[in-house]
Amino acid sequence: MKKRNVIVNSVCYVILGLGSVIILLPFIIMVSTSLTPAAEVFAWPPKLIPSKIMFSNYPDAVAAIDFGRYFINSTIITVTATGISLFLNSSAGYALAKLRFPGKRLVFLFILGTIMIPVQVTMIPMFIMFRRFPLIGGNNLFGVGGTGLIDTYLALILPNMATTMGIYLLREFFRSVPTELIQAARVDGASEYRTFLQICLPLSGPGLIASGIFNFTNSWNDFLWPLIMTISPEMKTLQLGLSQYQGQYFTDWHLMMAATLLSCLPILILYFIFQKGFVEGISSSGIKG
Amino acid sequence: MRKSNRLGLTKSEAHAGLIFVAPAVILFIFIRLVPTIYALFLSFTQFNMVKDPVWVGLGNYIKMTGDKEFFISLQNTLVYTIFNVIISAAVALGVAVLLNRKIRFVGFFRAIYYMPQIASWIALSMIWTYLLNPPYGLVNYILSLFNISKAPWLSSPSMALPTLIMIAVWRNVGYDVVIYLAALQGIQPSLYEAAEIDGASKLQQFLNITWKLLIPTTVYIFIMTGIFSLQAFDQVFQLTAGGPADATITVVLQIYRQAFQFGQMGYACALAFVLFVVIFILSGMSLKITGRLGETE
Repeated sequence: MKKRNVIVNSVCYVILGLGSVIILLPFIIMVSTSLTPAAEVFAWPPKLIPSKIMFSNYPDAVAAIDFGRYFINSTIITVTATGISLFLNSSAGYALAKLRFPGKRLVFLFILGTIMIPVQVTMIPMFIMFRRFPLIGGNNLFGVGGTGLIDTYLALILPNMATTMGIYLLREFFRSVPTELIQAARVDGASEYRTFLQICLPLSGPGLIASGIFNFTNSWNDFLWPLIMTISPEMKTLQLGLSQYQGQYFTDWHLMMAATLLSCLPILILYFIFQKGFVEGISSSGIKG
Repeated sequence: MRKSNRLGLTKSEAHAGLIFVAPAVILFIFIRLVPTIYALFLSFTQFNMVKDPVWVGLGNYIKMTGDKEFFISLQNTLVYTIFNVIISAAVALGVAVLLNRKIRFVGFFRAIYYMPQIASWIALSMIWTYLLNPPYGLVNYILSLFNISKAPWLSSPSMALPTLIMIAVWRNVGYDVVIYLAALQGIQPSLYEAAEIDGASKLQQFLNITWKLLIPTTVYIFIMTGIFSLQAFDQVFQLTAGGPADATITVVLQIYRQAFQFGQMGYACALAFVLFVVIFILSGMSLKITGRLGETE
């Protein structure tokens, strides 16, 4: 019986290992190609380990497109949106979990209900509304003449400033904070704001991390929204820059893979640090990146 | 005295509650509710951003029924969604069951399978374009080791959509694994012990206990991955741009083209609303299954 178990378990490891190879292989190829000399990119048979490790591919890739600018844009948008969303999501999540106020049920239904609206429905009206925004971006009082809010950081940050799933996730975390703790703080004379900021917020660290990671990843990887909301090359994000790279330098795969790797790096680093936060956020709420 | 104090407390609590939810609610009204109503209005108009919208009633919706490209995109999207959803879930169920045996490195394997989910579709599309390029790509090289001739993958009209599905499954499996594994870990071991005593075989145990208890999870996974597959855009835009010969155009790609390449804002909104209705129904079902709507106290 015991011997049979060992065999079955070994088969398990082999199957899971093979699956892992299939999942990992594209990433390994990305790393190996990013270090390959230009002459070996189309070698046949393909070489997994390049004959010479070319670290210079990275500065070359950065120089070939306006990588620095794209990276800064993506960072500004993602960090600002994530920062604001942590504040808006946690305050709304806290109120829905712990405070009694009129219209609470309606507010919860409204926030939950908006998740059913796909971005493809709102993007066209939002584009028109941003474009016609008066007195900004060269527009006159009637929203004509310029580009309005299109091509601004605000337009790129706005849709990620609060998220239904972030509010839902944080509400779940705040629900596990003992109500007695909040009551005690009130008896001690703490205001509702202090109770939230100094007592409940520090207790919901894992919730903030999960919600922050979710928002950061979504913002960083977003493509359709910045594709529509930007015009000038200076406002493009990393995903847009990467997408155009392929069209311009379609045979420089060593450089393209180097740029792709650099573009994934912030998310990969976050993933290795907060792996648990990623996975637990998903399994507890079903949110998807 | 005591009563007024209690009332005072409740009042400040209600006040704080409203202030705490206000920013998110106001934001959602402006970026979700108002645009949705505006989109519904625009879907009944002809609008190119230059002249004012012209009311055409159901004109856009009637136009859709004769739009051949729309039907191709709808068919592609449905094929992509159905195959992606079912194959990913089947593979993931197998992986999750293996991971749920008392083996080591569960966290490690789970982390690997989940990895494609965190990278952007654009980055993954770049990698796959390289892997699948017909003359030099690694995939064709591996096939050549087994004496299988080079395949054109994304550049052949008949293979492009199946190739997109294959890549989607590769990316999707990890998400399904995480959810299945969480559900499997929630099944009471005593159920299997009881079945063991009753002499049930491993297969019977799987069918009568595991699978039965996983049906709600499976439905949930189908709905969630279905919603995301129906919105397929980034990967199609980057890998095939809808081609070759419209073989991979999707509904969202059509919406994007109509609105931002042809300037048909009204018609694009009508297309988006059709997608919205389908996703609305699916999301409503998922909220019902997870019981979130009933949680409002």
